[in-house]
Amino acid sequence: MNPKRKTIILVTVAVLTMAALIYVNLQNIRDTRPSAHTPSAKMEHGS
Amino acid sequence: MIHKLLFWSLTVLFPLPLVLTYDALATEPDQLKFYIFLGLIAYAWWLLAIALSTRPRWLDRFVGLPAIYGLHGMLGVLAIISAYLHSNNSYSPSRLARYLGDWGFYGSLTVLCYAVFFMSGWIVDRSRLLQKTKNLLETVFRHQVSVWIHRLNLVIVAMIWLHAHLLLRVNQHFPFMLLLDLYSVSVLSFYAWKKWVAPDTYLMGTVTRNEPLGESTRRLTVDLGGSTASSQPGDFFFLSFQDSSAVGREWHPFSVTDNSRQALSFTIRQHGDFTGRLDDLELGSHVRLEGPFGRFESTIQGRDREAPLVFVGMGAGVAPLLSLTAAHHTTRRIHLLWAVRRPEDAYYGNVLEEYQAASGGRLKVTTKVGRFRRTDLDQILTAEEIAKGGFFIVGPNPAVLANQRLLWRIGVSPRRIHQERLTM
Repeated sequence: MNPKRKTIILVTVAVLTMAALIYVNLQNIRDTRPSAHTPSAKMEHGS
Repeated sequence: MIHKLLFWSLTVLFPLPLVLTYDALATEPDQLKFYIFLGLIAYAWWLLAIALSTRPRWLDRFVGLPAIYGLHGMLGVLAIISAYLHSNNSYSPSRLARYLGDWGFYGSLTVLCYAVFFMSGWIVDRSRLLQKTKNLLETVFRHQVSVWIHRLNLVIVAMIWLHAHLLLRVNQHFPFMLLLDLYSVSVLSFYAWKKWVAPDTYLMGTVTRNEPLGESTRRLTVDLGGSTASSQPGDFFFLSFQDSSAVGREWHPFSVTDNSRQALSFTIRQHGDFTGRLDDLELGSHVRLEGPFGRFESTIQGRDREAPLVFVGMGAGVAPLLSLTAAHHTTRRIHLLWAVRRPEDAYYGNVLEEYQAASGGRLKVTTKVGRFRRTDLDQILTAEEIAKGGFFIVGPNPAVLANQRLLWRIGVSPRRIHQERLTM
């Protein structure tokens, strides 16, 4: 395989990895953000 | 000097964006934040050490490969200290993050200790006993084994990267995580490019001559098949033999002996397991050449043209000095000191006589069987050479260090002593 093709593959893999990591990071933040429907909120509504 | 200062400032500049971004986003108490900074700095230093291990050629021309390897090693040590303070003073609720951090720390400590003994020369080059122990151990832990053990640092960096991603107090800051990932992906992509793509762009040559010089030295000639190397006198290349059954493909540095750029000659002392097998290297073997590297020529160009140059070569270490002599013997005053083990090891005697005859009295050659001692140097060197000369020392690492100390003792300023040991 010629170096130009290898470079294109490498850059593509790097960009896709970055895109995947951005997605994972955003998911992480969404999962850990305090939700409006926390058990304590429910307790307050219920009491 | 200014080049080296700029280069060393990378130690501060490289982790700075990560630290500043985290500082701007995080809300922890200052003390905890400080220890998190230390963890970030350690991670950034490991990444920088990986980037430096690719030995970029433009950086070699800027500061020299010994300085690059020097910083690479120092970063490994500094990162361990920083990581130790981080791990002992911060906590993590995630058990997996804790395990990864601990394994990463102990793993990198082990790899560092191994590298200091087998690869750095920091201690071994300064102790004959340790040198012998290392030579003995290298029958099992060969150079290529050491290289692969050193590459475990990549696994350790991956563990630390995952450790950071599992920490809730860290991974909730999106801009910071984006920057951390950008650092990691960029450095690892650069490393992958260097190992996978860059070799295809290097010079290729064919071994056309492989002849013995004395008992334990060989001269290899590599024809570049019409290509021209951009090397300067005194430069060296990393060579990898592609299709030889005698030696593996691992990269080893060798200095160019003469001035030709189409067919490069290398004088190689056979002292290790790799060079010992060069006897059986077949003519016609293909060679990949990474380089050229080296700063001897640019150092000479930067020196006062009237000041004498003193070249000190030990055994096959005369190789780069021979090419510098070939380039400058008609224009500069040169004193070449060559220490050999036996009289028959002075294999370049005839070539040096030719250069001397053509130099118009500018070139003086002193060949000695056995090492140069202080009494020898007192007699051989002139007062002007000691006071103004630019000294260039090449040879086995312990001998280079010994000669460097000797020159300091007779009054040669450290600033005028140049050597390119590739260990630290």
